[in-house]
Amino acid sequence: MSTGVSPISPVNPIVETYSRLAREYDEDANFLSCWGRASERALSVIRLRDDYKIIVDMGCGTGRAVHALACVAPADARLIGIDPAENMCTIAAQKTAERRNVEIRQGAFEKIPLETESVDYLYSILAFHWVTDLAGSVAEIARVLKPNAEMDLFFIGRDNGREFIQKTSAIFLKYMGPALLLDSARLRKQITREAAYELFSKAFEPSRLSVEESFTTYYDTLEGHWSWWVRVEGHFVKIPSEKKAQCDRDVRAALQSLAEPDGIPYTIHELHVKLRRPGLLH
Amino acid sequence: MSQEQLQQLVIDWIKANKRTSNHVEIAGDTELLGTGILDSFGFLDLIMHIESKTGLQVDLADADPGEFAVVGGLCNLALKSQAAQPCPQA
Repeated sequence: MSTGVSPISPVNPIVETYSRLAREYDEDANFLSCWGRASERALSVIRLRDDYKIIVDMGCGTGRAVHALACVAPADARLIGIDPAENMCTIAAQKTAERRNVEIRQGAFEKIPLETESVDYLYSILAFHWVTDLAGSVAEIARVLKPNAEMDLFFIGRDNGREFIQKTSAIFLKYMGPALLLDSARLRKQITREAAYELFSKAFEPSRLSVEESFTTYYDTLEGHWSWWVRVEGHFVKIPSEKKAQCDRDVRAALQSLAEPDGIPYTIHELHVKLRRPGLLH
Repeated sequence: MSQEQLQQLVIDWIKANKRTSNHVEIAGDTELLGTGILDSFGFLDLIMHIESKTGLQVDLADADPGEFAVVGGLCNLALKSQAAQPCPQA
């Protein structure tokens, strides 16, 4: 077992926040939230072939998925979980400590700490939208995959969370101002299905590639949604501290105003990039 | 570029890229963010469009939030950079 390579530097505010909040991230409330449910749904789609030898989880977080898959992976397969947030890696390493076929490394899509053409299967659940360089990250994925490797990437698309965004953008504009608001938006790469296909088809044979999209609306209480707000906290670190509490109150009131009989809706726009061996896409 | 030309460029782009399916009239005084016509990603794309089509730079450093989110106000921000540029030497 190894907790891996040298730290990623310099950390961006998203990575820093995920690392700082790693313990909260691993709490049940977060995994019962819409994001936890979406992650479980993505994990349930993953099928490991018997001939996979090296399996990689990019953006493994606290290691829930890599731990679950280690239990069902082929006996001779090695699983490598990779995450840029140091404290996430620490928790993932603790969680998978009893699994001799799992290794956790610190790293990121932009610079994957793996040998060229070494990976049989790479998957990632709701992490790819945090990359700082889309084309560079896709090139890195292509570099580490073996020629006939397979891949499943799940990440959020252009219209994710539209209910919340519509309700809260004007509030964040008020407290952050235009420049900070747009800097914050630049931290996420939310692209359309068409843009994702164009991006990945530059690095992979189009006949082996597909991009599917889904829109799933999850209903929860205000507190339920607030529990996953830890994930996006990094966007708001530049709001002056004296304004942050009032901003939070305004945002909570705005989200509460969305309430319907089933709860407060949040629609996850998910993209699923699939890479399969020739002739096995469908 | 005149205020009217820039405003038409912006309105045309918004009509083609707005994030709401509702029919809305877009004019100089249309507020874009609170109405859901654009989100913050849309603003990033719109500013890139303005800058690439006009050569203007939209400086948001001291922009007023109320002005920024309105069609005419955003155009004013872009045109301020034009006014600030030194005249070419004769």
